[in-house]
Amino acid sequence: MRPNARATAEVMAQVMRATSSLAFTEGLNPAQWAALRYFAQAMPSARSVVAFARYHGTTKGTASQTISALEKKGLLNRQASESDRRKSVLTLSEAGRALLDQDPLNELAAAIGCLNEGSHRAVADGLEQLLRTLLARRGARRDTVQTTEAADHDAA
Amino acid sequence: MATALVIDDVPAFATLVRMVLESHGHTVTERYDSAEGIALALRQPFDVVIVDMIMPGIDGIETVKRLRAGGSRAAVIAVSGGSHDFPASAALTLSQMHGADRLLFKPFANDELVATVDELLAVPRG
Repeated sequence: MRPNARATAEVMAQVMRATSSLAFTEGLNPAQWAALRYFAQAMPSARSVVAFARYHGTTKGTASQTISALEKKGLLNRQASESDRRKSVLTLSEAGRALLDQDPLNELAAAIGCLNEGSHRAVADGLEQLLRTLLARRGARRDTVQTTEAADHDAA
Repeated sequence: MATALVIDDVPAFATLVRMVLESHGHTVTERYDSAEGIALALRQPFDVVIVDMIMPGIDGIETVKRLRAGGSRAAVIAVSGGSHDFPASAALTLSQMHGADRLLFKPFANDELVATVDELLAVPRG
């Protein structure tokens, strides 16, 4: 029997709540953890506020707030770029690197690691389809809003 | 030195990658169609396959899945700058979930590409 879609969404919400509460650890929120992970892995050319915003498809303002908070906590350092002194490069401090050992995502990864290969593959395929669908629906909604705004503008 | 395959629907980008890697002694093949790239990679072993994520038809995520499902043991580098509706974070993480070894966020520096390839070649693959 096909699982109940509404109940599946509820279960997913519970998984998200469980991981979200995990993510509010060590004085960081989920966005700040995501930024810490990004700067731990980003190539030097992508260690900037603009690149971080573009990578996550968010605004520069939102990205700036997240990064400023990490700088104030001493987890990120801002240095002048070696190739272009007008630009700054963000790098993880020693404290930031050490904090990544406590990454709350490790707990979820450990739980996923307990799945057998078939279940893990099914989860991976299902998550991919869900993410693709959600991104497509978000894009369609944005297009609809833009079309409506353009029509309203033409009518005015 | 390595054999590399670049799968990207934008010939200018594939050619740029080829020129950079060839200048470091690697042998590089380009494919602008993902289906052709997958078929070639499964027919002929490459040390490294560089796959763009946003492509028409079979996109990069599906390309990585098919390479791994087809038994390719090549080191796979997923590259993406994202698109309006599909941020690079989503595309690259999905490709990593399905078996990409390294992720490169466009635009990247030439030396970052070379370093990534060298790093992968230094790791023995079973």
